[in-house]
Amino acid sequence: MRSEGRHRAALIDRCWSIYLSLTGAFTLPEDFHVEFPVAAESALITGVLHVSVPLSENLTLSLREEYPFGRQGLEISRYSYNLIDSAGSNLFRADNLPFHKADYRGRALTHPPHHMHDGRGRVLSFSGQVPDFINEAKNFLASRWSPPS
Amino acid sequence: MAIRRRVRRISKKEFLKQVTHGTLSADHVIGKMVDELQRYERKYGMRSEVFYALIPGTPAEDQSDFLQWAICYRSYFRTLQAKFPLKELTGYAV
Repeated sequence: MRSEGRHRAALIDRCWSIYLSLTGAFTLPEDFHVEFPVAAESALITGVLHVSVPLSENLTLSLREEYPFGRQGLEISRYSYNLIDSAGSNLFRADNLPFHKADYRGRALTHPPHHMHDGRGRVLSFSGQVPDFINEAKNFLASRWSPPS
Repeated sequence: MAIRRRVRRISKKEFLKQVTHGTLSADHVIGKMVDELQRYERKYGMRSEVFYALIPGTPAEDQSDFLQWAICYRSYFRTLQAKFPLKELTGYAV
């Protein structure tokens, strides 16, 4: 079926763009380059891309996106992006659940329903774009890195 | 001095070849999803069916585990339905 083929092609393209964003931002272990195509192939079967990216000994970036089958173009119906520490706690995370209209200061979200939760659970504006989240994670990693004394 | 090995990024051609190779079976993927669902069920002491009837669609879903659990549950069903289409199952109807 032509529309199914288009959907698969769009999904593969999406996975590739995420791979480029991740590898452009971080130097990742060799395992990641082996496992990412498997995650992308799994997304073709399940309609969900789920990748866990080890950024350092203590930090993992987890990206999960859900793409419903049977739609014309590729739509991300739900996503959950998380930066997790070694204890499994979320340092910050982003999603598109439609339960927030304003940030923690009462200002309207810039791109609702997309929003972010910081480590204290406060709601912040978020663009909904995965490269922006990757950038936040990169900045966080840089702020935590201290040169050896 | 530690030598840092440069890790080679895969090319788009390699990526496409691996992704479209079709080596991954639906059974394997379903098995992994079942493992994940069972991890959440043990952690929260609740069956996935019960969780899905109660939490998604409410503000309580806006919690990392619950959001991921809901996505995993939907995807598990979608994959099962694709593997066992309704048409095939009608043969088992009494």
